Amino acid sequence: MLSKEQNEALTRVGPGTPMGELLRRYWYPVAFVRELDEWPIKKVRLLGEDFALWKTPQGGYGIMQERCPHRHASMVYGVVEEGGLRCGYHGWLFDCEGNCTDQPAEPEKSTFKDNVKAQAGKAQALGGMVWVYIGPDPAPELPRFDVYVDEGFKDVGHSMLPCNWLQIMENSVDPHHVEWLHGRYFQFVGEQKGFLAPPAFQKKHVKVGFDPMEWGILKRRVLEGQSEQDDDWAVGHPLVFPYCMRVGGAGIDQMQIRVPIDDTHTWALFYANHHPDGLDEYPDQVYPTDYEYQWIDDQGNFIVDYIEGQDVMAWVTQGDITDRTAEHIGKSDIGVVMLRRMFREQMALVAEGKDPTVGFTREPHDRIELPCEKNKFGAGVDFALAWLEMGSSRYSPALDILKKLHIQAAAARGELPGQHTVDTPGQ
Amino acid sequence: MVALRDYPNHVEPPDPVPDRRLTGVHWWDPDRLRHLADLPRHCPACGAELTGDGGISVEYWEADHRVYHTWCRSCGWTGDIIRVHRMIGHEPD
Repeated sequence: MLSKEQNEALTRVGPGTPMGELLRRYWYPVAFVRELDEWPIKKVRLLGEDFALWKTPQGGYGIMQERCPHRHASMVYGVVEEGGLRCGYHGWLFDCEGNCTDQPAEPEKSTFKDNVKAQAGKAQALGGMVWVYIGPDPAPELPRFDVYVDEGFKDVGHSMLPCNWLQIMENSVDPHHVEWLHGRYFQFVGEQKGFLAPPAFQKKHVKVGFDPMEWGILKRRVLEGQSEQDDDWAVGHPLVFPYCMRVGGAGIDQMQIRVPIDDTHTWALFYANHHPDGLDEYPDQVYPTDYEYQWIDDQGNFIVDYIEGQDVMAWVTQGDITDRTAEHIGKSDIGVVMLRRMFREQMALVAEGKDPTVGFTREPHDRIELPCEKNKFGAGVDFALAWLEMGSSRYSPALDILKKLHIQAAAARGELPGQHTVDTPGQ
Repeated sequence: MVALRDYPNHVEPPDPVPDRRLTGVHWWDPDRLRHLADLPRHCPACGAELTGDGGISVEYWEADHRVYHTWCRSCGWTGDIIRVHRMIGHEPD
């Protein structure tokens, strides 16, 4: 249970709020590279603010406030030029730093433009996505996590969800939900609909542990029949502070990304890189495959016969911003307690004018490897195929390519489908 | 003053859903208020206020005990404060 003021402090993301100020110290993906290649300007909402994102003719990216400082027409309907983004209404031109460099209707020698500055951020591409930073200068480095830079076949499911991002993040430090939401509940849905839910999801958690680390919180668990020598405990996988979680296994690495759009909307992405052992080459991709996964049906019911659909049900049905003054949490929720404390500590650092110390770097780098179980699932091709069919990948237009890729890799390893027991995907 | 949104041709992005959950009167309010009243207000180590941006205290249950996991921004003290009603030894979790 939290006080109302603490719940407000932890969930509000707008400018000037304590959490909003912390979150403005990080980079966020807001678009696919593909989208801006098809049309060079996109409207973006992030942390409760609206922006125009554009691709420059030189191949870079810019992001500025959506409304033109002149008379507030939307810059989303502007003109992309070498010098920046020009407002479609009266032609004011802004460069990537937000400087106004041209006001065509003003007298030629006017210095008016020198007195106008738009709010502008930084933008760059990584892993087929466009990432932006809208906080104070100097911007930190964009962390180049393994999933985004490693070779492989990339597949990204995404959807806009009507809930606050924090309740999704709290799910990432709640291992016990797996044995119920993806175990018993999945089994129940299967019994009603006539399919067999994977029994391994029902394994009881014997022990859970949470360790703070440079990039967030390392989550560990011992399941029934396991020991602390198993990867689930010995390696674990991290909540990547402040808005991601890294999972994986069987040649699939995934970052679960929760972009806070505003207080009550979250863009939830499952960014997967498929690179199973046994393959040296992957099918050609100009861009990562991107698609919307479905989470609600025509009747307004949640789609709960796959893993991520079950998660979405649990996140969204808590309400737009869940009321933590009325919750009852227990010992099994200590990961959630720890995450709230970590957010509060980091918010305090930022309020004191310091950099956050978690999930943040100013060190230039090529690649950041995150700890993640490799031998988690009994591994093998069966797990990979189950991941594809029982996860959000089932909506991927590349589903058949992905299945083929994992089967070819298994064949190259001398492994056949059916040799392994499919075990619990990490959540 | 005429608000921008008063103009009929103005298209505003949809506002976030109003904050109805945190302001309404609920049937569970008496219980909630009882718990809120017990939240630690001062750091047990340095006495600084924990309310506002002074720190955080999160209540969770451990068997019959209510535990307040607490962090003080002022001195950095981090720990659990447990409300005790009876002194009992060897109580199972």
